Amino acid sequence: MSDPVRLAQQGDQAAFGQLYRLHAGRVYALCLRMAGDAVEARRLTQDVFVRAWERLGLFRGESAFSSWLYRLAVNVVLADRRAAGRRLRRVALGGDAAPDAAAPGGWSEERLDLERAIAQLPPGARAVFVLHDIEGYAHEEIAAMTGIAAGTSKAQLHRARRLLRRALER
Amino acid sequence: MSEPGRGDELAARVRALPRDIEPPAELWPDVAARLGRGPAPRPIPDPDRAWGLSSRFVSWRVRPALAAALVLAALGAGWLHLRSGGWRAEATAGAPVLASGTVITGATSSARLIVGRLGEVDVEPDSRVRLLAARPEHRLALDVGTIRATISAPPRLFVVETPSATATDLGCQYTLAVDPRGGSLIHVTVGWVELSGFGETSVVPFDMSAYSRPGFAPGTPFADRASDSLKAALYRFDFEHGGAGAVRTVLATATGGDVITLWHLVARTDGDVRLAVVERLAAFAPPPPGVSRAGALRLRGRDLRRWWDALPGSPGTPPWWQRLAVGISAWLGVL
Repeated sequence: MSDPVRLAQQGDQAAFGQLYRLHAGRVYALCLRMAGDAVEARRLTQDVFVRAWERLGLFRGESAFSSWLYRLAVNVVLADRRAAGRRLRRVALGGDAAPDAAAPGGWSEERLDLERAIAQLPPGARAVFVLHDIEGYAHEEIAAMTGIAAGTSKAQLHRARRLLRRALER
Repeated sequence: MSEPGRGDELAARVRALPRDIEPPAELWPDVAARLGRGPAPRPIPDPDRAWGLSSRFVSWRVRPALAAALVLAALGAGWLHLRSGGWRAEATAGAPVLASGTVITGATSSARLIVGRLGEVDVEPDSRVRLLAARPEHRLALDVGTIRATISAPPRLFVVETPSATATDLGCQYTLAVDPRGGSLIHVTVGWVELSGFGETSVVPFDMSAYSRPGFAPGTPFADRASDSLKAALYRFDFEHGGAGAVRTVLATATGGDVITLWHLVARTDGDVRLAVVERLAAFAPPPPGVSRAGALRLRGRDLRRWWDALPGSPGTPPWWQRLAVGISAWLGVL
């Protein structure tokens, strides 16, 4: 048996490390954009993988492991946001913990501007924008995950795009 | 509503964003340090949570009767606690090891455990049982082998831990077998049993069985009379990442006798597969008045619980007074 998922389900930490290396980049990107804060993103990424380890037994292959993991990551971030909304309010313009603190040297100025503008969105609008426009979830899925109505999700997306366009035009 | 399209600069820039961002290198050691040595310990089932009893439910449905019920239930539970007593073990064949809270039977020996005054557990040959606690509930560990439990007591006073799941008695008679690799098979003959692990629960009524495997959530219960192809597909789904293909086989071979199985699959599937499961379940057992398929698809607890209560062969949800009495009994046991 060489499938790292199945090995990890049997308690093999090395196999889980392999899964971490495969998926950490995507999970970290999701956490960073959803939280808008590099320090929070590191903590949330840790939480996601610890939760995934604890809940591996629930994965039955009903979807790709990556889909299962990213959905879990979204749930962890949203639950964290509900439990401690104050963390998201800490994000300040140009703050040390904004995404550029996580930016490697290769990021273009244009991309950095966009990442920074996303981080500065209001939390609700940012969550919907990241989930819809970057992660590709449908409004109905976002509604189910966040507990808002699909119509509210559409309105938040509209608002997020409007704010981003305005920020990028400056 | 403006959707990003061609010519939209924002949309183009968003599309160009990478899906991956390299996390800090020191992250993995921190994650690894938090993993512990094995899969997470199974949580002890919370009666309220298992049956989806929310605090809001308590407040508006139960409050008027709570005060009187509390007194009655406390008296009853106290009486029950006094009568439950400890363990007693005796040989029924050969010469089993009966010492230090452990019962070990060989190829030609067997034993019987008297569970206070709640019932009896027959320990079959080639088994190893450890007695973990006599309060607040009687709890034992079946490491390997087979036990046959006959319990006549309110639910949740008798619990068996196995390497792959926890079996909580809900008033019943059952056989539980654990293989040397830690996998188990439970077969219920009277009443029902709750099988839990990884925060997920299977409720196994009489004439049904369920597997469990280390590292996996408890298997989906299946009827004794279910077809072999359904049982095989269910096993693939639960333990071999059979995914949507396995579920489709289950749906194609399911009959009206498999509604308990289908109900469990609703919450264990997703997207179009869940929709197909709900449709199949509704074909055999339409949702009762007031329960919407949309609610079931969104896993709304109230809808799933009421649908469960209406299923043919379902044990239903225990009445609130019973859950309350059990909770108080456990509380008294802790004191």
